[in-house]
Amino acid sequence: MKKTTWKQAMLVSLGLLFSFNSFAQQGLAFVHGTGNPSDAFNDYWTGDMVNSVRQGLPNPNNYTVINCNFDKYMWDAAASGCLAEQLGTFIDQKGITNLTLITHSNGGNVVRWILSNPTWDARFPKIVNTVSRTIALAPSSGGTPLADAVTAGNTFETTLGWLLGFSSDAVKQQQVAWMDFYNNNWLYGTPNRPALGTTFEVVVGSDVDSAIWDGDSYCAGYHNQVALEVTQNWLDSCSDGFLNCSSQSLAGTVWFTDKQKTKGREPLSHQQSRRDCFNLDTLLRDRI
Amino acid sequence: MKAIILAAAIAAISSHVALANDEVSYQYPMPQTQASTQSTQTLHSDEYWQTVSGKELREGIALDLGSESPLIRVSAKARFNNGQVFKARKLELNALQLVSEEDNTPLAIADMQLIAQQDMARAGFEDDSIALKPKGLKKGVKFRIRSQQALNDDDAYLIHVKEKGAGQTLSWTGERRLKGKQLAISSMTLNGLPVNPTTAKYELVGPNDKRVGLKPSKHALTFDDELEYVGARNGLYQVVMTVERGKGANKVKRSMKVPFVNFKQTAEIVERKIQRASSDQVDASVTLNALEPGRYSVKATLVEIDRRKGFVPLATVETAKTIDGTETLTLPFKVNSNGRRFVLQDVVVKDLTRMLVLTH
Repeated sequence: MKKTTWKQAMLVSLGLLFSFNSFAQQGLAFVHGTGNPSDAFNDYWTGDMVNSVRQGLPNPNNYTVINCNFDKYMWDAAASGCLAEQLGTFIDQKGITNLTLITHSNGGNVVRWILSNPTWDARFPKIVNTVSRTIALAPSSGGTPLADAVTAGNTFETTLGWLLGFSSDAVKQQQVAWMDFYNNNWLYGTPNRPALGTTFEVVVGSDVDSAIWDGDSYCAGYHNQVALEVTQNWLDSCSDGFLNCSSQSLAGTVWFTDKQKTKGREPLSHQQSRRDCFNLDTLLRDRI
Repeated sequence: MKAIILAAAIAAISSHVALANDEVSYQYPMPQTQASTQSTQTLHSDEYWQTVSGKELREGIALDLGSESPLIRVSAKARFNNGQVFKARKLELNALQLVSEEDNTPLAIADMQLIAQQDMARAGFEDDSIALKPKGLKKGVKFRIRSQQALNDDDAYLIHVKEKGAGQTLSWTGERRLKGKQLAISSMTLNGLPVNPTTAKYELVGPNDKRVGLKPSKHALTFDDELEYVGARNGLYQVVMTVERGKGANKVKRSMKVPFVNFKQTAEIVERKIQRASSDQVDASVTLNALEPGRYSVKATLVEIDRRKGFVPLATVETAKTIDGTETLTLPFKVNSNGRRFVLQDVVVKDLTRMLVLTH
């Protein structure tokens, strides 16, 4: 009698577990970097990248691609407010209970803003409670000296918005000393600061392969040796052509540094770390 | 019909504003440890920049170079004239020369890399910059940069010299917060040797165009007036400083941007209380006196006083609310409250409207 009851209890438990898992909805969101795209699916990530990675989901249709104004400061309603709005709508419409975010560059900072400031906006707690993991591709957690360089001496012009792209508030925000200020006062996940409540794992781009004879340089269209030589005047020997490795790995934990896992041990330049270059899409697909 | 659309639009806007301003509480998954914040910052620079006129650039501007292969970037700037904004004529790379003051001859093209506007844009400099990168400059020889273009006298141009690894580094350590009108300086050195702050040139750069003068002393920069924007919401203020040392070919010049926040104590804690709300909830109330109306947050950790284990952090809760004057924010802690003694620790108050961390 006792044995039967135990078996029955086990069956009921398994049934409950099965039914819980069938209700748990895993979702995936792609969060772009600096910029204000209207079609990040095609223009920022490319369909090849998104469609490959989402195959790693139990239901590959449970994905969304964010389009917000990340030219604004990360706390701006057009940046983190917009991100929370779009993620909240996605969570509600698809019944998502477990959300993975894939961010690129400054997108990692906007996500960290939400995770670090849950009461900033009434829409934030839902996001903080649903996000289980952020995979941050080349996040600009510590800023970049290039943001300092492009705004040096150009205060008047940046106020006027004459310098497209790099003129934005987001570029000012990503100056090294500015990010240090935000990391020290408003953001979590960096050394000696409170940990983020969820996993924030980083893919670091450590080099740029831009030799003219190397076909790999052309993945994602980065093949400008001269531009790279210019940026190297401000960057460390370990960088992805835009961000130092130390900036990328400042917040969260490092999942891997490009050459450790990429096909052919190829480096991921800042352009390549958002595209399906050197098996990055497969690595992400298997991770989510 | 128009009225209905307008009413709907107002309702939509109001609902959006309400979303951002509603009272919100959040309990962190784990008790939070005390956040460490550094009140001072240390910055370094191995570059300088200056604005010159078209006339000066035509005639040649003396450069202060201390490395064999500096990057010299030049770009057209904007200027106001009779209420209108004009951008200077774009520079042509083949008209730019680096001239030795030793023999007044231009450096051969073979001895430097010419970096075109397109390549600079690819590197992120989308302001029509061009650049020169000489190779193997002789130490002790001064150079001038000049353009052979017919530049307008009054047009403005930016010259930006980057000397990676030159070893002539300007370092600054000072406060991140402007208190009252003073920004405290801890130390200032060039190449490891002390710099008297009164010998440097300063310019305030803020979220608006308002010019405010400042007086340097050995230990602080003191502004002539109070700065308009309090907090970091509109971005940080920056002091751009330029330091020069030495003469002739040994002259070293460095520029640096020092960001800081204009701090004001916009609210203070009046009272804290802890009360048992139910068997599985403890409510802590923190009363704030807001000297400026706005949205404020309070974060605190509920700690159990255990006779054997000592102080045991149980949970961290944060609550935000829009207040004006003296009001109370409630922090609901979902913890078992039966028979336990509690204390509130690590209380952090933030002014979210202006972006200020008021207590740590």
